[in-house]
Amino acid sequence: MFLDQGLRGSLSSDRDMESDWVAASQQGDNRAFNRLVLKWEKQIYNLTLRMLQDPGEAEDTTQDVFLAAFRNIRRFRKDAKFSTWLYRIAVNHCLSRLRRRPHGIHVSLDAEGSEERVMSRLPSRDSHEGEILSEERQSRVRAALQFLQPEHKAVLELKFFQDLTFEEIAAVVEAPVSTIKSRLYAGLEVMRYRLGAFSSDI
Amino acid sequence: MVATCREYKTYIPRAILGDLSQEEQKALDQHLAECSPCNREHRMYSETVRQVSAVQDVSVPRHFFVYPEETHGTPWHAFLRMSRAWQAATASVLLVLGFASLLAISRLQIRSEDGALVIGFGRLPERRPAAPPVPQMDTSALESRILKIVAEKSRQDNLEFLRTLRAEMARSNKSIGREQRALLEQAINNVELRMGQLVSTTAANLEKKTDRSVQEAYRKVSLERARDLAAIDNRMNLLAINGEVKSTQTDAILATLLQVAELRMQ
Repeated sequence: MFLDQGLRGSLSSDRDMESDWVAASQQGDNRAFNRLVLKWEKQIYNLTLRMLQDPGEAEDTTQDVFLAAFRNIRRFRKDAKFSTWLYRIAVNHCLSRLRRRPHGIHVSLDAEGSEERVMSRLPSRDSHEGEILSEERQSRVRAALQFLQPEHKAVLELKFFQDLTFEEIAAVVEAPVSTIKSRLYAGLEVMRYRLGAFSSDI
Repeated sequence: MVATCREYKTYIPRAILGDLSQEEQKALDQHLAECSPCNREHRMYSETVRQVSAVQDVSVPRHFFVYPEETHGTPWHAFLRMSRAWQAATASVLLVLGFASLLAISRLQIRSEDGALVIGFGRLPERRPAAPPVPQMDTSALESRILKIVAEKSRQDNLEFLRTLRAEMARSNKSIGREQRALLEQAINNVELRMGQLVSTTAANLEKKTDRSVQEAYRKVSLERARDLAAIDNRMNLLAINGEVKSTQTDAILATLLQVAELRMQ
């Protein structure tokens, strides 16, 4: 894990390397592509995990995303950002999985109950610079995310967890910035309502 | 700028996300200082965003590397990986092939002919011309009676030829040396003898009614006949070359030679 962190750090420190890896991947070099995987897998896995709320499904989806990315890497134009392109694949995979869920609902079955079960199975969290919420509060946020519409959840995910700008999100989702903003406010409204009881004591 | 609480409430999430103009931000700040419900609303939004943002990433359960054997995928994926130009080329080739096969299928005709299936495109060729007498003999389906008639006919033809050959010999008697004539007569006798063998073996085989034996007998006898004819041919040629035949008789000899050649070609 230590080595892993060190490698990841050194990889992300060099931006120019990424375009080299992309170019090599486009020539069919899967080792170069695996460097991109190493750089982005944590973000993509966490995105799919929050979107789908199922570690197993998130794992499968993440693998699908990288496979799809490699198979289509020749389609990737270098004037775009690789991360934007990768996020688009990931978001589309998640959305299509959410739409396939029974009853057309985007809330995972028995959201609260399964949430506890899911979170207890998750691996330990990495230490974080900022404020650390209690395990219980994090669970509540994750549970509240399930009440969002898939498209709203995707925008919220990209804004709050992947720290993209409105313009970047618009590029990922392929929708105008105004649409992104309205989805974000709608999603935030639901989150405020769902977390309201919890935060009313503030 | 004067706005109602309802309007300020729409400002709040935008303020949280830094999406307000300076003027709007200033107006909202002023309002929040005066209006406690809006202030509370603002704090709740801030808290929501704080909580949402504070959710931490988990580490990956495994690496998601892509391995060479997985990279190819289905033919469809291979197609997707191609450049646009290659895709266009592949698509058009497939289109042409598809069109051609459709055309072929629409023109395909199958017909039963003599118990066998005949497959062809477009207009089927007319039935092949009747096979020469030899192949006809090998059909066991034919009655032996018919075979006998055929064999008899071919025997008659050969005898007829031999008769003309003998007549020619008789006519050119004077111009051919005695020795040569004796050899020629022997050759012709050989042909006659073998002809008799052909008829008898054919008859014997017809009794057995076996395809193969008839074919075999015919092949053997015709081979010998060809050899005999070749011998006659050779001798006649020698006669002509050596000038032993008078010029007035040359035409007859040549005609016979041609006939012999034709028989050999059968």
